[in-house]
Amino acid sequence: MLMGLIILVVFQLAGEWLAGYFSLPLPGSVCGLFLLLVFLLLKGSVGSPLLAASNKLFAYLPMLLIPVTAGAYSWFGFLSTSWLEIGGVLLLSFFATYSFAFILMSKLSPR
Amino acid sequence: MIDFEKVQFANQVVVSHPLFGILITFMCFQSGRFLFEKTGRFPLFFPLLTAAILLIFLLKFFGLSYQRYFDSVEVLHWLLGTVTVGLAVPLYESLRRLRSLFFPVFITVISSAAFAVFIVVVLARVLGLDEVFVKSLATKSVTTPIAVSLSEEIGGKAALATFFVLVTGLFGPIFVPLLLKIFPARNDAISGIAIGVPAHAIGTAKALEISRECGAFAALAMSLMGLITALFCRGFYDALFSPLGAYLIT
Repeated sequence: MLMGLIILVVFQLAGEWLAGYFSLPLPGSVCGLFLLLVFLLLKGSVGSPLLAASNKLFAYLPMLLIPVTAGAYSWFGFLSTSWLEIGGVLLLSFFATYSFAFILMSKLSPR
Repeated sequence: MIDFEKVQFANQVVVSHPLFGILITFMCFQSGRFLFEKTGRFPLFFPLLTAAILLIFLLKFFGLSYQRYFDSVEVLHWLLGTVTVGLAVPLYESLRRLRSLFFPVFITVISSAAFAVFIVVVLARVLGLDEVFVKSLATKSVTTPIAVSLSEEIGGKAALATFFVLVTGLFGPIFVPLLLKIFPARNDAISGIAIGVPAHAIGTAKALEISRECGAFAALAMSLMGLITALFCRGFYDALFSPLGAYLIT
C-alpha cells in the first residue's frame, strides 16, 4: 500500500513539474495520469503495490470531492433571479451531451 | 465548578485544529455511505451529495468559515490529485479494449467537447441569460482546474464556472442510473465514455462504482475532454460568436 502510494505521488509530482515547466493548460495530476500510463505501457505490467494502492484509494474518491462540493453553496447568491433558467440549461445540456456521446460512441465502436 | 471560559477556550482549540476539518469530512462521508445503503442506493442519496450538505450544516453549527475549513483539509485536496494519477491503472488494464476503440473514443470525445460548448451556449442564449452566465456556463463539462482558467480567458467568472462544473458533475450520479435504463449499453466502455464526457470527476467516481472498466473509460473521457476543451475552447467559442455563428443561433 505504502509503496503504491509512493509511486503515485512521485508520478503526481512529476506531472506537476511537467505542467509547470511547459506551462501546460492541464492540471499536474492529469499529466501524471498520462505519465503513469506511458510508464505502465513501457513496463508491460502493473505491480501488486500499485494495484493495491489504487484499489483502496478509488473507494474514497467521492470523499475527496466533498471539500470542493461543499463550497458550492456559497455561490447560490450569484444566481438570484435566473436560477430557474440556469438550472434548465444545465439539466438539458447534461442530458443532450450524455445522449450525444452515448449514441456516437455506440455507433462508432465495433460489435 | 466548571469554568465556562476555559470550556469555551478548549472548544475553540478543538474546532480550529486542522484535524477537526478532516474528522468531520470523514464522518460526513461515513454517514453519507450509510444513508445511501439504507435507502437501497437511491441515486439522490449519492454519498458525496448528502455528505456535502451535512458538512455545510456542521460548519454552520461549529461557526467555522468555509475558507478555514478548506485550508485545514488541503491534504485531502492534494490526495484527489493522487487518485487521479491512480486512474492510469484501470486505464492500462482496459488497454486491450482501448486499442480497438482508439478512433471511436477520440472521435466521440472531440465531437462531444464541441457539442457540449455549443449546446450550452445555444440554450443559454435562447433562454436569454446574461452574457456573464453564458460565458461561465461554456466550460461546465470540464474538471474544475481547467474550467476556471478557461472561463476567465473567454470572459466568464471563475466562481460561477466552478459552481456550474460542480452542479453538472452531481447530475452524473443522480441521473446516470436512469440514463443507463433509457440507453442500455453494449459494454462498459461505451457507458464509461458517456458518463465521463459530461460529468468529469464526479461522474468518474460513479462509473468506478459500476465497474473498473467503466471507471477507466470515464477517466479517459474526462482527461481528453479537459485536454481538447483546453486547446480548442477559445476556437469553438469564437466560432459560435462569429457573424455566421450568431446568424445560426438567432
